[in-house]
Amino acid sequence: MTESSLCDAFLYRSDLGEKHRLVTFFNLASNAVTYGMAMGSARTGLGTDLPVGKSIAGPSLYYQALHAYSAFDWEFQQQLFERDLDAQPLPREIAILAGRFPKAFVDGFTDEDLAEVATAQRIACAIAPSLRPFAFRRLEKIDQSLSPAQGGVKYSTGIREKLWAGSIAKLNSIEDKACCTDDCDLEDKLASMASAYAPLCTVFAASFDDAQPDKSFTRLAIYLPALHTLHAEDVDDPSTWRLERGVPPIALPSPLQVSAACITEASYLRDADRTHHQGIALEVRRDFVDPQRVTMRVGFGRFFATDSDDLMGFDGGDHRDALHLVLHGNLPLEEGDGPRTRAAKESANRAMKVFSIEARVHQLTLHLNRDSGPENIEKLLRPQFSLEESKISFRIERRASSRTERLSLQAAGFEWEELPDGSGYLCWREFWTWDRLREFFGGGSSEGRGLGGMLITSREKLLGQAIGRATKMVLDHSIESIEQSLDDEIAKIVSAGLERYATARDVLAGRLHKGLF
Amino acid sequence: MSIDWKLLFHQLFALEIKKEYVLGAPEHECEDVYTRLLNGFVHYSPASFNDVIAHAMEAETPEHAQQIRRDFYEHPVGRALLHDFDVARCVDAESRQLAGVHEFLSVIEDNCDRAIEKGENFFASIEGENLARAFAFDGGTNRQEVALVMVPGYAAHTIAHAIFEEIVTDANAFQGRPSSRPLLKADGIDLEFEEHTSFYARGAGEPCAFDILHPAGTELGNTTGHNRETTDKIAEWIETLPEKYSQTKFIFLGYSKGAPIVLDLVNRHPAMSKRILGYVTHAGVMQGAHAARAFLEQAKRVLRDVPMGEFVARLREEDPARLAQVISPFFSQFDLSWLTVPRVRELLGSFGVDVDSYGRQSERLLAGREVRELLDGARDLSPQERVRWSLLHLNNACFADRTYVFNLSGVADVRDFVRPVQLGRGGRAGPSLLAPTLRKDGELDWDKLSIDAIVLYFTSLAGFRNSPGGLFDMQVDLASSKTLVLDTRPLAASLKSEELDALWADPAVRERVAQSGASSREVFAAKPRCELIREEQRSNVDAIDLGEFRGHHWSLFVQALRPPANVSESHAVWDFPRKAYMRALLQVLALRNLVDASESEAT
Repeated sequence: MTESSLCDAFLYRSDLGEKHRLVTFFNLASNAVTYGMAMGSARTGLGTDLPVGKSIAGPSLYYQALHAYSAFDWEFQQQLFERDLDAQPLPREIAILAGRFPKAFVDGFTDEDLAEVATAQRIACAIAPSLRPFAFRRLEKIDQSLSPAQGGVKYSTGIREKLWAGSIAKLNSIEDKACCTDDCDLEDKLASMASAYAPLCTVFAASFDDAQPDKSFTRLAIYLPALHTLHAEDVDDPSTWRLERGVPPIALPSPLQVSAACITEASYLRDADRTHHQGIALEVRRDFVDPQRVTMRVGFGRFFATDSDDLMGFDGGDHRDALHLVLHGNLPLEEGDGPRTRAAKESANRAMKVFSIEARVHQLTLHLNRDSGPENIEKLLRPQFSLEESKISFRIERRASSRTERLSLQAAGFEWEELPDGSGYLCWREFWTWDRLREFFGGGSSEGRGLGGMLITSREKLLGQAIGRATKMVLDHSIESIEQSLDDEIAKIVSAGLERYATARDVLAGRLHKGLF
Repeated sequence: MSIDWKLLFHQLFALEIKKEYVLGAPEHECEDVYTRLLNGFVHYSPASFNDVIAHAMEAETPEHAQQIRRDFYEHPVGRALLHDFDVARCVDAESRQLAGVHEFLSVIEDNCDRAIEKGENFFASIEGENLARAFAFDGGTNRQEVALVMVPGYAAHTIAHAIFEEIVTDANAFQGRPSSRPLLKADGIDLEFEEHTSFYARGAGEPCAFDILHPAGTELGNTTGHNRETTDKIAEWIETLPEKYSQTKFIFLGYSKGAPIVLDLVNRHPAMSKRILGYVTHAGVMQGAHAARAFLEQAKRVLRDVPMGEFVARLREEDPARLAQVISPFFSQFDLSWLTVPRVRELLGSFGVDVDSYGRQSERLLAGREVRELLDGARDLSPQERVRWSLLHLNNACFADRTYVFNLSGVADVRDFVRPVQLGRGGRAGPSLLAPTLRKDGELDWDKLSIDAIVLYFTSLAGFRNSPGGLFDMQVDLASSKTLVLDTRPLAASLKSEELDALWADPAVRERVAQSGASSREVFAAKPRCELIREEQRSNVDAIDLGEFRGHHWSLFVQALRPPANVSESHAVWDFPRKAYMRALLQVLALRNLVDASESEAT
C-alpha cells in the first residue's frame, strides 16, 4: 500500500446525532485541554531560565507533562461534576479514533457537513500541525462502528483491518525512508522521521452519566512507534540524518539508587528482532468513582494483526522488545540497621556483585494519585509505581571461567554458551517476576535451585545460605520501600528518555516547520 | 512631611473597586465579592519590589515561587491596610494641613460609600469635580490647567484602540468631544485618525482644569523603531495642540515602550520641562526588556552583520514567500508576533478570520519601515541601553525641580488566562479566554475567546522563564519596570558580562558613576545600582514606586486585537477594573499637585 493511497482520519461515533451534545463535549474538552496546557506552564516555567544569575530549577519534561495532565484532569472533573443543572447534556457515549487509513475507505463515508466538527478540525490542525491533513468522519451511517462498551472500545473487523494496513504502511515508511541512508526525497525522509515521533493511532472513548457523574468513564489509548535514535553525520545537513530503531545503552545522567540496587544504564531494543513491528502502547484509564486516582500503563512490545476486541494486537511478552535497565545489586547500609541486618546486607551485596542483573520493563503501571491537602484545589497527580501491576522480567548473568563453575550454575537453572574467545562460559538465567528473583537469592525457587544450591564449596554454601536468609529478610522488609524509591527513579529514567525523545522530535519538527531545505 | 504614595494608591484603588463593583452587590455577598476582587486585581505589599523578587528567587521550584508571591501580595496585613480607606495611614498630619489637601481628602472620605452608577462619567461626578479643583491649584491665586497625556507603547501606531479606553472616553465626552477620536482610514495597520488639532479644538472654548489627551496612529511615528522618533513626534504634537492648551501643564503617562519615549523628553526637549509636572510609567520598559535583548542576539545570529534593511530587501527579491517565515522568530516575543507566527495565523484562520488580510498586513509590514527598523527599536529597549540612559539622564541637569516619576507595574499570572477573575460575576473565576468554545448553534463563541489572550500566551511563555522569580507582566519583568534609582540590585544581577563591559567602556557612563565612587568595573558591577548616581545629583528626580497590580501587559486595553466585524460584532473583554485604577491614579496625581503647589508656594 503506497502512502498516497492513505490518509489520516478521525473517526468518531457518538450515541446521538444531537449536535448540542457534541458541542457540550467539545466545550468541556476544549476548556480542560486549555486549562491543562496553561496551568502546566504556569506551574513549571517561572524564573527557570534567567539570562543572568541563578535560575529556579524547573521540573523535568516528565513532571511538566504530569503537571499539565493533572490540571487537565482536575478541570475536566470540575466541569463534569459542577455543570449547571440547565447546562446542555453531554453525550452518553463517545468514541474517537485517530489514525491512518486507506483513502478509499475514508472516502466511502458520507461526509456530513457539520459546522462545529469542521471548526473543531480546523482548530486541531492549527494547534497540532502534524495532524493534518485529516478527514473527520462520523460512523453511524455505515456498518462499521465504534462503541464504548464496558468502559472499553470494541472495533469491528473492518475498521481494525483498515487501521492495521495504514499503521503498517506508516511503520514501513519509517523503516524505509527514515532509517536508511539511501538517496530519497529529503522532505519525504524528514516527514517520515517526524512521524516516528508521533502516535500511530489514538483512541479516546468515554461514557458520561449526567445524573451520576461518578459513573462516567474515560479511556485514552495511544499506540506509538518504537523509540528511535537520531543519528547525524553532519547536524547541519539533514541528508546525513537517519533514524535507528531503539536506543543504544546509555548511561543514566547519574546512577539511580533504589533500595536494593543501583541502576546505571538503560537501553531499548538492543537485541530486538527487527522483522517485528516494535512499539509502545500507552493507556490512561479514568473512572470518577475515585476522583483522586488515575491509572496509566505503558507497555513495551510489538504490534501484530489481531481479530480480538483490541484495536491493535500488542504483545509485550518478548524481553527483547522491553526497556532494559542494568542493575547493580546493592543494599545500602542505613543508620538504623542493627548488627544482624547490617551483616546480612553486606553478605547479600557481596553475593549480588558477582552477577550482573538486568531488569526488562515490559509494562509499567503507574497509579497517579492526587496529592492530598486540606484545600479544595487542584494538585499534582503524583505517579506511584506499582510493582504488582507492572510486568518486569529479570536476567542475571555471570561469566564462568571454568567448567565446574558452569556446571554449578547450570544446576541452578542457568543456560549457558561458550564465549567466542574460549575464555569461559556466559551463563544466564531469566526470571519473570521480582518474586522469583527474590526467591533465587533467598535460597529456593520453584523454577530451580536457589543461590545456596549452586555454590559448590562448603564455604560458599555457608555463605550462600547466609546470604539467602539475609536477602530474603531484607527484600521482604524492603519491598514497600523498593516500590517507593522506584517511583522517583522510574520518573527520572522516563524523564531522561523523554528529554532525548523531545529533543529529537523538536529538531525534526523545527526543520520541517522552518522549511529550510 | 511624609506620604506613603504606594499605600495611598492602593487604598484608593481598593476603594474605587469597592465603589464600582462591591457596593451594588447584595449586602450579604459584599465582603466575599470585595475579597475576591482585591485578590484578583490588587497586588499590594508593604515590602519593596526588591524584597519580593529576592524572596521569590530563593524558591526551589516554580510552584514555590508562586506561593512566595502570594504570601507577599495577599498577606493579611497588607489586605487589612487596604480594606477600609483611612487616609491617616498614608498621609501624615502635617501634609493633611496643606492648602487644599484637607478639603480634597475630605471629599474622598465623605464619598467612600457612594456606589458608582453604571455609565457614570467620572469627570461629572463629585469626585471628578474634586479632582479638577485639585489640579487647578497652582500654589498661588491663579488657576492652572493640567492634561494627562497617554503615550502607548510598542507598535502602538498600528493599534486602533486607546489605552485605558473607558477613562479616555469619559474625558472626551466631558469635554464635549466625540467619545473616541474618529478613525478616518484604516488600511490594515495604517491608521489615520482625525487630526489632533481639530479633535482637541472641539468642545468648550475655554480650557478645563483637567483633561486627558491621547496621540494615536501616524502621529506616533514608527513605534517599532527608535524611541527618539516618537519622542520628537510627541513634542511636536504638544506644540501643535489647539491654542486653549498653550498654558497647560502636562503629566505624561508612558505605557511600556511609551515610558522611555516620554522620559526622553527631558533629554531631547529640555525646554518642555517647565511645563511637565511629572511622569507615570505603567508597565514601563524602564530598565530594558529581555525580549529586546533576545531579539538582538537572534538577529546577530541570523543577519551576520548584514543590515536588517538589506537582509529584508534581498530576501524579498529572492524568495518573498519565505520572508515572513524566516523573520518570524524576530517577532516571537513581540506584540506584533500575531502577524507572522504561523501557528497563531493558522489558529486565527481556523476561527474564520480573514488570514489573507493579515497576510497583506504582514506584507505591508515587510515593505514598510516597521521591520527594517526593528533592530533600532530593540536596541533602545535593551537592558544595556536603558541602563545607560538612566545613568546619564536621571539627574538634575535633565529634570526640573520636583519632577516625579511614578512607577506602576503588572504582575501576571498565567492562570488568569484560563480562569480569569470576572468583574461582572462578583469576582468569581470565569471561563477560559484561551479555549475556543462553540455556541449552541455550532458557531465559535467570540465573547469567550480572546485573540489578545492567544497572542499574549503563545508569545510570552519564554518571558516567564526569563524573569527573576517569574515576576513578569507578559512583556516586562518586574524589576525592569522600575526606575533605576529605586532598584537596590547590583547591575550584575541583570546585565550580562559583555553588557557591563560595554557600559564600562563608555566614557560618559564611567565619568558619571565615578562620582559615586564606582572607580573600577568590579565596583560598578557590584554596587547597588541606586547608588551609582549620587543622591545630591538626582535630587530633582522624585522617583516613587506605586507598586504592582495583578494583571498583564495588555490589561489596560478593553481588547487590543478584535475579530474583524465580518466575523463577529462581539469580542472578549479583558476583565480589569481599568476605570477604578485610573480614578485612583488620577486622585494620587491630584494630591501630588496640591502638595507640590503648596510647597512651591511656601518656598
